Amino acid sequence: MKPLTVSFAFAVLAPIASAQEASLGDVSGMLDFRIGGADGESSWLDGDFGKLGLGGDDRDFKLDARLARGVLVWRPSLSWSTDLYLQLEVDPEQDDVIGVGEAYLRFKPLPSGPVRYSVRVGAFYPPVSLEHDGLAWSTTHTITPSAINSWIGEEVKVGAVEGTVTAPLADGQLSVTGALFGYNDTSGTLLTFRGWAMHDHQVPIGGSFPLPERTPQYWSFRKRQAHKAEPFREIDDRVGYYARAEWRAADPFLVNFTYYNNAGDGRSYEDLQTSWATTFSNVGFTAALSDDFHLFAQAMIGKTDWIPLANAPIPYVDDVGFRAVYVMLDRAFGDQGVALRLDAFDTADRDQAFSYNSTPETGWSVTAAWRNQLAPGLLLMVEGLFIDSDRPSRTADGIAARQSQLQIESGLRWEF
Amino acid sequence: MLVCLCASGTAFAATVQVEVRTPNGEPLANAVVTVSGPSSSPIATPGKLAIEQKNLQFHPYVLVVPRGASVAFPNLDQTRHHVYSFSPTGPFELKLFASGETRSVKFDKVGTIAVGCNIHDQMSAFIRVTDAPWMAITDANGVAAIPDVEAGSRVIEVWHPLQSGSQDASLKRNVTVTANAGILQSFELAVRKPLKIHSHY
Ligand SMILES: [Cu+2]
Repeated sequence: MKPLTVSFAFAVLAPIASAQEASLGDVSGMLDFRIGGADGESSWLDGDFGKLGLGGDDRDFKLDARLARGVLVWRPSLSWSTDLYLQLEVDPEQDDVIGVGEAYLRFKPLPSGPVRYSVRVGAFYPPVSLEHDGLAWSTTHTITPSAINSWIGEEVKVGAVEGTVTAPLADGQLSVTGALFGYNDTSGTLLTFRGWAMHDHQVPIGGSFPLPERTPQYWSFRKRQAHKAEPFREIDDRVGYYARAEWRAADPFLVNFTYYNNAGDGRSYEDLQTSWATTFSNVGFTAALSDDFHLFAQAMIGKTDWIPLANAPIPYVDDVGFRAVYVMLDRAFGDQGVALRLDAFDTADRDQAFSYNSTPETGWSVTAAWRNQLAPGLLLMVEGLFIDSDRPSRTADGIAARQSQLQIESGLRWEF
Repeated sequence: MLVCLCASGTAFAATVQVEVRTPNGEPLANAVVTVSGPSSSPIATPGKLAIEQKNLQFHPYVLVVPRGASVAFPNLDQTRHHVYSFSPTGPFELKLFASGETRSVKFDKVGTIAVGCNIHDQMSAFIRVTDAPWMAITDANGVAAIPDVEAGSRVIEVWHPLQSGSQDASLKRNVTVTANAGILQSFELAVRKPLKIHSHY
């Protein structure tokens, strides 16, 4: 949904709400400053195969200081049960420096019993990540999200109608969510051409990310794929869906399961962006081992297909499988805390249709982070991240298939 | 002077101290302790009868009030709160506009009222309405001290919003209160520990 559409929705709906019921609501925001660096290959943001947001200078450690993210969130209410969420984003590393992160209308009637309902309409992330529990879809345990949730952030934003029902069940709580969506047809493009990555850049509505420039697929794909991916895009006019169930037990743990299917037809394309048929399943688990000690884990398995020639018979599809998992332990010490996360990921060319062995990869990562809430709204974080991956398509770039990188970063986040 | 002391109603009374712990031996805060039995003096309620909304939380988390009491809901935040309960004991809905607005609700039935905010899912509080003449809430050490309990046969009742099993149940114990002889009673109550993590979706 474009910002224009949201303004239009507001203009139409505002008169429906009585003057007394409506409210201009709160504006909150965030500025996130970083000093950090990495060694090794250049970042994928520069059109290379580097898996991190930062990269080396001729493979040596390069340090830089920057504003990583600025956010403004506005939540006006149209009535006591209907409000609007509008999130403006600033990310100097992206082509669209200023963009709209999420924009949706939420309807949440007052419960008349233990069962609660809510509906969202607009552009937002499906509720997959267990790491983004801060303001404006920010991470609170580490600076860099896991491989799974980095990908959600870059390629899985949807334009959707989503409904959730929450009911108490056996001393716990069960939530069931279902959604119909569009605007996510190209999801899977980055995973295919670049592979997994770990960074905190989020796709704005209508935004784009670069693909590795010298990847050999382009010799066969150049008529269908630009050197960039536009994740928030509707191409085939087919409706995708996701379904999710979450169980919060009486004992301190929760488990959830999400199935996503963008129902892409795998053959439509426009403006050198292609509709990929992408599905995935995600399992999430959180447990409080004690009041201050938490375990988080997610595992994802999925696949993405396309039909290279528009007129090719259906069996001739390119079929890329992807899998990733992480386990994170978080220990809080009052205003401070530490987190340790292990990630593993791979992609596979399941039918070997891609030439030059160009889509498979395997990799793993370890992340350690320390945080200190200096004052209300002022969070200091320091993080070290090591990543190692083997991707044969790097050889087309004249570098070894196996690469590893160390990234050290500190961030100062001010929320207001 | 002597007449005066007798008439104060405290001459034949004592302090009842109750200590509540979990099966692990950890002190349990926010347990409601009531002492019932015939009373000749007016009911004394501890603290003010209000649940504030501050920093997107209810304060206090647990409140015990005598039947028929009014509870104020002052909004100390800069944002709106939509405070409600669907508990059959006392369903209500309050639309509280920004900063400073206060509204009150009168509770005429004995029982438990679970309070929520429809805008902020993480906001949760409980009101326990009682006919008992004496009442208190355990502090961080799991201790509630109830002064001036009249001598005689009494029933001590302990309840917690997160207690395992039924929310309608409570621990009860018969005790004899003797004038000027304070008593200490220990209770053990198992509680659920729901995840404090909440999603913003
Ligand atoms: Cu609220």
